[in-house]
Amino acid sequence: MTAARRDPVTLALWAFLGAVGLYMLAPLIFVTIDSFNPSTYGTFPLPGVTLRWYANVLQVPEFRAGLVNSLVVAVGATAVAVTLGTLAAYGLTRYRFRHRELARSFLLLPIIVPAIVFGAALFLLYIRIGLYGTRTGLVLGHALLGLPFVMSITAANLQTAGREYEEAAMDLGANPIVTFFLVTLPTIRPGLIVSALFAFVTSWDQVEVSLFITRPRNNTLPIAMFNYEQNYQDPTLAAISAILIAFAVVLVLVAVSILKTHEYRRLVERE
Amino acid sequence: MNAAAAPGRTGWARGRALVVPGLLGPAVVFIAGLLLTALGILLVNSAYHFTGTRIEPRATFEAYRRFFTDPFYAGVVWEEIRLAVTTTAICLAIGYPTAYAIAKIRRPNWVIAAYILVFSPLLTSSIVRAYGWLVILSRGGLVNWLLTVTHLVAGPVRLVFNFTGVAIALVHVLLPFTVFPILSILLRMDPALREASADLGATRAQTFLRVTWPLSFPGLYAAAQLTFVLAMNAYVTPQLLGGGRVQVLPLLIYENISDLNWPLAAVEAIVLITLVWTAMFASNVLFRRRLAAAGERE
Repeated sequence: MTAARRDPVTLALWAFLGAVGLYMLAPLIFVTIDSFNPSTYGTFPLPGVTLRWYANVLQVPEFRAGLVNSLVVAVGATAVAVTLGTLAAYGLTRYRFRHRELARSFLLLPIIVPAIVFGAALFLLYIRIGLYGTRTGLVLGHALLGLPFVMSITAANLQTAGREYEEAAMDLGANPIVTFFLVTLPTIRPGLIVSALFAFVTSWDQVEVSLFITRPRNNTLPIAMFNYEQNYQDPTLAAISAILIAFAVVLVLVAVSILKTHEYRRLVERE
Repeated sequence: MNAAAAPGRTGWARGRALVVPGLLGPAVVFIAGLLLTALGILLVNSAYHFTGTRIEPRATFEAYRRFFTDPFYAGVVWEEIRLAVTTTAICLAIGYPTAYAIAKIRRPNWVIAAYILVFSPLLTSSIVRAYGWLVILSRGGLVNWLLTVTHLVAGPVRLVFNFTGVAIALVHVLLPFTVFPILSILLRMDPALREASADLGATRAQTFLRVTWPLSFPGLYAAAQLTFVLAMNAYVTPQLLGGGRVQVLPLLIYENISDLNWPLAAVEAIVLITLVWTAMFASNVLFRRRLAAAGERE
């Protein structure tokens, strides 16, 4: 181990990894630093320190409205994507039927259509059916983008979990619906959490589709930020970005702790 | 009741006729109703006539004529492909050694740290990251400050609102998607193969070139395909860091929808989808041939 660490190739590899890590973190770190920058044009090094951009975040009404709208839409889209995706994944992994592979490919279709194309197409559809500029329209559009991820993650989980416990429950007289809720769902809970997080983040960060189907008055937070960045470019955007980065850090910590607790419990229960 | 609760596969099989459509139906109807209908309307719009102020629903196909005869659009497609190929090449050159290094880490805490470094930017919006690169690369930003302080350049270098700025930020956005497929295949690789190679007297370079590299090829291929497709579809990064100087299809699609020229936007969307799907299909065919060749060698 010590010998391996000393040789130049390995050292170079570690140095390279460190450099890549810096590159990956650089924009997040400098956005946070810039949020305290008194200079409007983001000069470096900072001429001083200020909190006025954070105060400004609260004063931009688009950000406040966007935050509420984004949260409502993300929760709605996650609920739709997880419900439809989990049912579909269960059907694909637990039943054999004709054209199963075709059905699987069809459910993955939203992934291979570029989001910008889907956004443009959805705009043309929504202005015809009155969903343009509505929350319902956003929820449906975002749910569609999250659906393939939920389906793939849950299907993979169902595959690994196997059906032994389900068969045992049915042998003991439980009907398929009771088995699904009391045996299947608890078994794949970590997978469900991960897939729900995926669907939530997909909606939360969505730009390309939202861009086409939001009205100025019902923007999501990313669209409000996108417009602000194009019109003003002062560190108010850095301040709200820093808040979102902190939010993402909390999300990572929560996810890691949930999964760790689950893994831990599984280890304990097995003992 | 007893019949319904009949144990084993027969019970499953009996309900199948109704259960499968019940489970898959909602998702299939949802995708068909939203995605396919929307794409159908897009396709129909591409044929329509644009008067300059509004759309007339008659099939003139003039948007196709304009797109394929005006050299401006050929230039946009070229810029799009150049950007996607450049960023994919850079991502692979950085991503492979990164995945290789992560796969070699032994201490669990360092593995977690490396994963967080590489993958956590995915949790922040591409808008946040684009703004971060604007801050770093602008005239008064970190990079220009460092270059000036160290006297490497006389005046500020232009790093944003051009191809360079878009490429730097786009590589950052795409790199996690490049690293992940390579990393997962490197982690799945049986360490016994490398040990056997070393036991048989191969140097580390030989082991890498003869064992690790060929075995990791499927991951490399998947990474290249995913990165290229995502680069072709990128909107936020070219828009915010290109400053209008980097024109790619996604930017034109949004611009034309806003200008009410829906037929032209629809044609651009169809061209984008066609380019992306052709690239995926072509690389699948090439890859299958290469896999077959590798299979024959054994």
